[in-house]
Amino acid sequence: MSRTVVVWWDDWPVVVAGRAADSVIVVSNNRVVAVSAAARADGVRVGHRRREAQGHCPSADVLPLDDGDDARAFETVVAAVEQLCPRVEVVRPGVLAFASRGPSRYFGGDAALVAQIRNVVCDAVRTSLGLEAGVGPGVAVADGNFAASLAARAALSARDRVLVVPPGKSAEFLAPMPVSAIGDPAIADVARRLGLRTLGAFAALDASDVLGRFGAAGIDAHRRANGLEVRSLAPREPPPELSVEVTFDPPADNVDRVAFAARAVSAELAEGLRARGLVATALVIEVETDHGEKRERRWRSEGALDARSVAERVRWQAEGWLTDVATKVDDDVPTAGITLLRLSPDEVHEHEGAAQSLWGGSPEAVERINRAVARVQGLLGPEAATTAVIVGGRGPAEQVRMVCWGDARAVDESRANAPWPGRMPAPAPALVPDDPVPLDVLDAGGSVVRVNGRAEMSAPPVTIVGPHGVDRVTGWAGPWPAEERWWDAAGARRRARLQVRCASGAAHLCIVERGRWWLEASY
Amino acid sequence: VTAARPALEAAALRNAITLAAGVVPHDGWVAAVGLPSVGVLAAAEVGLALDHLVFFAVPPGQKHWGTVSVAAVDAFDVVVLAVPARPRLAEVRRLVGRARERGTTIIATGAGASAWGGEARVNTAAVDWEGLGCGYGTLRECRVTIELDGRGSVRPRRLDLVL
Repeated sequence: MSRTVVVWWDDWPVVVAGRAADSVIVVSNNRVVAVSAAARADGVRVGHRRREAQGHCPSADVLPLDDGDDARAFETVVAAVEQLCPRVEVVRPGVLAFASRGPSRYFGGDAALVAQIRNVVCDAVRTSLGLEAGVGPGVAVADGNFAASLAARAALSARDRVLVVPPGKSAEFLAPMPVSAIGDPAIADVARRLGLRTLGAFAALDASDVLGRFGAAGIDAHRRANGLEVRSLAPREPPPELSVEVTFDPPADNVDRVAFAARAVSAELAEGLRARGLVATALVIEVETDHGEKRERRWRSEGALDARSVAERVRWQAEGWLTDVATKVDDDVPTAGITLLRLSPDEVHEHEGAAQSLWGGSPEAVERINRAVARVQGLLGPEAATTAVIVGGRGPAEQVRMVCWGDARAVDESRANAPWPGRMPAPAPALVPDDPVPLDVLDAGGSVVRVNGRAEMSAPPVTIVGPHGVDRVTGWAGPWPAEERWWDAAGARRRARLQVRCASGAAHLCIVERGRWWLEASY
Repeated sequence: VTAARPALEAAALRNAITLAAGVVPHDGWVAAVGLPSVGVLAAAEVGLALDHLVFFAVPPGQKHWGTVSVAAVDAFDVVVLAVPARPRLAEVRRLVGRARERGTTIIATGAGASAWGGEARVNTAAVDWEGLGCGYGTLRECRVTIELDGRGSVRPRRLDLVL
């Protein structure tokens, strides 16, 4: 059982936003993910719905979560801790862990070590990032990762926000914790309904009963509750041929190229692991530049690291390194483009097998699609394969955003479902060119139809002259005025839309701006 | 194959996506190859699931069109394909062979679609939109006259549809 130190920054996104002193909540997918101290005092908790949180603390500012920013800033903190201790593992932005055996002897005991680490971390935030540290992180040392993480969270309510759980006392420390902390919502829910309210009660069950009821995941949870290492098998030394690398020629100087290549190699890595029946729970990402500068970072994950989360972590690391220039925390800012990216699994376990969902889509189909898309993206770049999300807006083109395959499809629901006055009613046009095509809408006298500020037309349209030649108008409706961003001098647009039906049978959506007509879409 | 006169390009596209929505199995995947201008909202309206719809952009030129199409035909259930003018016959034959082997439905549209020897051909002969008056109303529904033609069991006939 290895002694582990965990630094747990509860409100890291709030700190990064520079608002630790104010009352702020950070929201992702309509759920609160981080709370500043002031908002917490008003009763807002992580996991609340956005509206519930605003009910508790109406004056709080609501910010969206920005994972990339949080990870970049956290890179600075990790670098500062790394100057004291080797082999720091990043769990996610705001949480890091490392084995404490060596450092604790060097700094004179666990208590001295955690106090020292806390000071260093808060200093790094204050001086290098120039941000308010606020409450600061909880720092704790205990046996194993799980106990140390819970202890770090408990440390947040301790006096100087540090906590030392003595060796061998982890199970005792965990026993009074609520069973919901077990790290598996499904098991926690069943256990609660069985009347097992604390981790201690769950730990007291017989291991074979837990295995029979909950399977492999249950055994993991049971071992965690007992303060033991999660995996029954000792971590196996990963075979060296599992590591994958990609070289860049010419050197890559922007993060996007690195991140894109990472997506392909992480799929390769996952494939290699699966062929051997293994999963990786820790991973070393190595990035090297043309001048031989190197940055190596260990990433740990509670579950298995899949291809997408690996690619995300590569992006965070590369971005953090390349933007270190501004923060000046260490001298090894790269002076040349990135030439090498290597991913090596650092800790692998036997794959216990995950049951396929009974009703969900078949995983093979998704994998087949992923492979086909990766082939096209490898040939033509990431923009060659996109999917669409509906984001809300007035025009048919504005309502849709194309996202590259593999990027997050999350959208702001409230924006998409907002009423958008001036939006065209269904049906939607079948053909929407990327850029509107110039067009002339003429009246009976052959002059261009004008629309004035009161959305009145100078004369009914009779013919349109478009890309397919002259066409007689047999029906029309509108204009629908759309006055957008009138509060913003640079972004303001005043337009009006007109539906026309032509003698050829085609129906078009025309748009007028500053006296010029454009063909926006065809039905 | 869905085809139409240039002025009725949008109607041919509407036929193509409606057809795709009709034949795609539950939880199936649809690819749109070389169709950057297809109306996404219209696709959602006819019943395609946007998270199972992937758009492939194809740079101009013959070179990549074949590669991208083959990749799509290999993996997806339904492929809506914009055929460039004068496609290479060898490539077309390869695509058709792959589609038959994999059970993929190809819906060909665009400039070169008429060169495509598919199982069935849907030609949009006339379109009439209803619901629009002179200065009032909005477009409501679309009556399409299509000419169906094809090999084997497909009899040539004319159909009126309301989309």
